[in-house]
Amino acid sequence: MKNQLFILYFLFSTSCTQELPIPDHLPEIGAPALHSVQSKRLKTLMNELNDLMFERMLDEVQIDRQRRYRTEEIVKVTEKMLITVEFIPDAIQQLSLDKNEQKLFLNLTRKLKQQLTLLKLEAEKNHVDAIPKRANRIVETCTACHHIFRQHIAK
Amino acid sequence: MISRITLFLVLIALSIPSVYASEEALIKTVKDLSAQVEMLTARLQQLEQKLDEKEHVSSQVIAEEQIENKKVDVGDIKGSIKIPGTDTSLAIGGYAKLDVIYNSRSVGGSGGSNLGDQMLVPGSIPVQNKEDEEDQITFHVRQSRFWLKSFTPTEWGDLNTYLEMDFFAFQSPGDERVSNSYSPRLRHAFGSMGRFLAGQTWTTFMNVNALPELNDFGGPVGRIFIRQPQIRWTQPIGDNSDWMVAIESPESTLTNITGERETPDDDNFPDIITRVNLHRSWGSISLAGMVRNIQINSQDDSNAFGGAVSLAGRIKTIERDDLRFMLNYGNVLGRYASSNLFNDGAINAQGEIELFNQYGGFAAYRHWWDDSWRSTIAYGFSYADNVNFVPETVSQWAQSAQLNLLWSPLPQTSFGLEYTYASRDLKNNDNGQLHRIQFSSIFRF
Repeated sequence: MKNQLFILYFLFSTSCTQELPIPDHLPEIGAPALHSVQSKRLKTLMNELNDLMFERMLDEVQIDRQRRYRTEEIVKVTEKMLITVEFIPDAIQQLSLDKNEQKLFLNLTRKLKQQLTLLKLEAEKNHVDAIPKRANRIVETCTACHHIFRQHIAK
Repeated sequence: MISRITLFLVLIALSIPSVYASEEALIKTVKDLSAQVEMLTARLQQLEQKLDEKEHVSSQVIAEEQIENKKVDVGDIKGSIKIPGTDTSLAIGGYAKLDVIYNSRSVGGSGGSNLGDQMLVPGSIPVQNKEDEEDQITFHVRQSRFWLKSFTPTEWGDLNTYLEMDFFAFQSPGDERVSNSYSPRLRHAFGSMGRFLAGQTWTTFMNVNALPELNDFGGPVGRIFIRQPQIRWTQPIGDNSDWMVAIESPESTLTNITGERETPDDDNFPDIITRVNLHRSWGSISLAGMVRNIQINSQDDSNAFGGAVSLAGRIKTIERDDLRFMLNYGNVLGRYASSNLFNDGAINAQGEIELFNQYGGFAAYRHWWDDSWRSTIAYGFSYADNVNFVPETVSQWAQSAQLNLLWSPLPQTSFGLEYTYASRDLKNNDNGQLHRIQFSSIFRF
């Protein structure tokens, strides 16, 4: 029940979430998942995009090229994450979840997939300003899922 | 006439009974007609109302369309908008930067002539001991910057244009007495289409990506640092690697027999530069080569061909940290390195040009303390193997070390404190040392 309340709160809160710094590591209660490794690469690329703001010597055309290089990398990472996300529902077999919890687990997976698809689209269009907010939402989805369901693995 | 009137009256008299007979029918007819009129009026009102509504809706649609037309689309590059009716994205930007600098020794002069007090100019590091030029403070905003850029995707590749200026104009430097009215100066003005670039920008010999993040505008001693007009072709070679070839504006700077600098402006051969860049997940590295013809036409014509190489890069280290470096060697580094600390060559007593070897470089490490605090530590040096006939008062060696702490509570801002140590040696081993503490604030837009 506590988990369900948390997820309800999470689903409401993400609809008008504020931009938060991306944590270095997602809560790891069980073994690291493949998509966690990919999200670390995503975070590195986000930092690199952010650091370009502090460049004083590169001219703006060079900075735009570097931004584009990184958004192209983000597209590649996101594509890999989308493939990985397809296998997340398989984890249900390892978790002792009741019917409602299974439903929530799948909802979170679906939400993650939606956010990743949107991130990929934004990166493809080189909408650099939209990317940090989207990446934050992805991290929030991952964090929520890890908080709730990795405890089941721990048990 | 009487008979006609009589006949008319008779007819009226005869008709009266029939009028009275159809009175009820008449009333009924009137009522029916009234009902019909009412119905038709109501129908008419309905139609008028519908017509009004339609007109209102269509005017609303027109208004919305007008608003829609006024809407400006997001551009294809960060912070840009699309020029309506075109594929061109346009953006403006820049920053306002304040520098507050304490110098242990001033270069002297006032206003804009004391450039060496406002940024690190290795050739201006004071060597003579003048007590009246010790301990000096200067405030300036000359590094404040404004740029305008456009981006248009075309069948020939991306079309970019870029203009940038700041307020470090040497020719009309302003003064500090009343209004600190520093003049703007051109930094960049170039266009590029696909792999072709033409205009004024950073020399191809310089890897801008390797320069460290410092408050000081002069950067570390030993860096390559030139902007000049050029024509450049960039050819991709494999994944994330490219090869650049350029011809760039020539300008010879020479040391004459008395040790003074000469810029004869007699050049008739462009500087030819090539550079290979490798970009990898661990960072980027570049190797550049240059051929120059140093020329003077006074006295007897004299010229000399020379070359130089530069290896530079930025390597990612632990987490967000990076190591940046640049190493340069050659006999025509001259004006390309350390803000023209050494000249490209020297003119002997016979008026002939002699080239001499120079080398220099720097290394800088940037460490992120957290997401907004960071520090850079940098060391740079430059050395010239001067020819024998130049006077003992020319520069031979310079070095600098910098350490800073920068804070960006928002990506649009940076505040930081930096310490600089710099020294310069002359050929006769006279030495000058400079200690500098610099606070800077940057507000980007």
